[in-house]
Amino acid sequence: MSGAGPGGGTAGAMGGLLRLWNVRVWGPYMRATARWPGLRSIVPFLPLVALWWAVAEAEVFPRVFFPGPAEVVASFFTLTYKGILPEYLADSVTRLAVGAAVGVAIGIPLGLLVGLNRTAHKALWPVLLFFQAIGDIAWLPILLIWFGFGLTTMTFVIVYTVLFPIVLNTVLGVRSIPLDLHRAARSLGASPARVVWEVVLPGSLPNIVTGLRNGLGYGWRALIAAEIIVGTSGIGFLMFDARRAGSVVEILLGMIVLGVLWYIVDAWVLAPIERATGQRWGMVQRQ
Amino acid sequence: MRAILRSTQGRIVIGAIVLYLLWQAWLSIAAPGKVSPEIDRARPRVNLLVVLPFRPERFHVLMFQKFGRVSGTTDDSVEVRGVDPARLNAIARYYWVSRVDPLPPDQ
Repeated sequence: MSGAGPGGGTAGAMGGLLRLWNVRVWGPYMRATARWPGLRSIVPFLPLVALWWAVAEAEVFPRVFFPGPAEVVASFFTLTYKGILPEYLADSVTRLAVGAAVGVAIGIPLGLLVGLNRTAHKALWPVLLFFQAIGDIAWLPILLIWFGFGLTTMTFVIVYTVLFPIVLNTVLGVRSIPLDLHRAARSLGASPARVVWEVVLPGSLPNIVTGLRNGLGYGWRALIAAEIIVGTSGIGFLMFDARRAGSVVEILLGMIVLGVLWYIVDAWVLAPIERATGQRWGMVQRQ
Repeated sequence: MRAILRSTQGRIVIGAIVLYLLWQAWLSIAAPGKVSPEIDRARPRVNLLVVLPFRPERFHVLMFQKFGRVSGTTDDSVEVRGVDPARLNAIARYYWVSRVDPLPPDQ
């Protein structure tokens, strides 16, 4: 039947190609990713890297402005050998971790307070919205005057950035728990503290984790911006310092390191936390 | 914890942490061997010639400024003056430091 119509030959050929694709490419790919799930993270980037390599090799742009993957990999090894990349990476990660820890320590209790207490909500909600509207980078000029070019300025920026998504999402999570659950727990003899611990916190955890993921994402970007403007070390500083030397390779390396690091943090740390809490307790269902 | 150990990702993360800790332990063990015995640790401050396996860059100079005054660089070394002897191992702990020698008196 395939060769009956004028387009039959084409349709048949397309079908054949599709079958060949499924048998030769898609099938082995699915089997390989089932066996090694890590491949799923790498394979989508292969066409991108191949395209980058092809454009660089074709020298569409001057090599000095558009280096290829090989130069970036070589730069990675050189900067690691010289101790520069590990040191700057450790600085950035430490700053983010400290900022995130402080942001979580302030954000979750504040979110619970604003979400649970009507008076606190009335008093603090407008203030939260006001300060949320002021971007983290907008604080930099005044922070530089107050604290100078140092760790305090960068920590403040990260905490400020991480704080609002956590607070606002925690409030949303707390206020989305049906009042009947509070009443049920209270009628069973739970103290207010136990209601918070047993009902409110687990119930709002999916929102808290979402806030944490968003906050850390924003915090990571804010950190790089702060390092570019304020920094004396860190990945942002590495990239901006490379600009002075006109080293596009190091700028590209910094960008790739940022992407890879965030992917690892999100997929290997935050997503498992989300799975181990909200999804596990049936409050968030996978599609 | 059992769930973490069961998953491939968890095992990779734990493996990476273990490797990192082993690497840090190795750096601590190897550091004293890089410090020259000719350095007079009895003095309150010592002048050093820190030898690297490559030409020092601004980054390395800034790192050594945490320990003392950097008074110059040569092809593959950095002169650091007024260093507390108690911090010699901290300088030698950097994996990109080959040796820590005393600065010759004429320099």
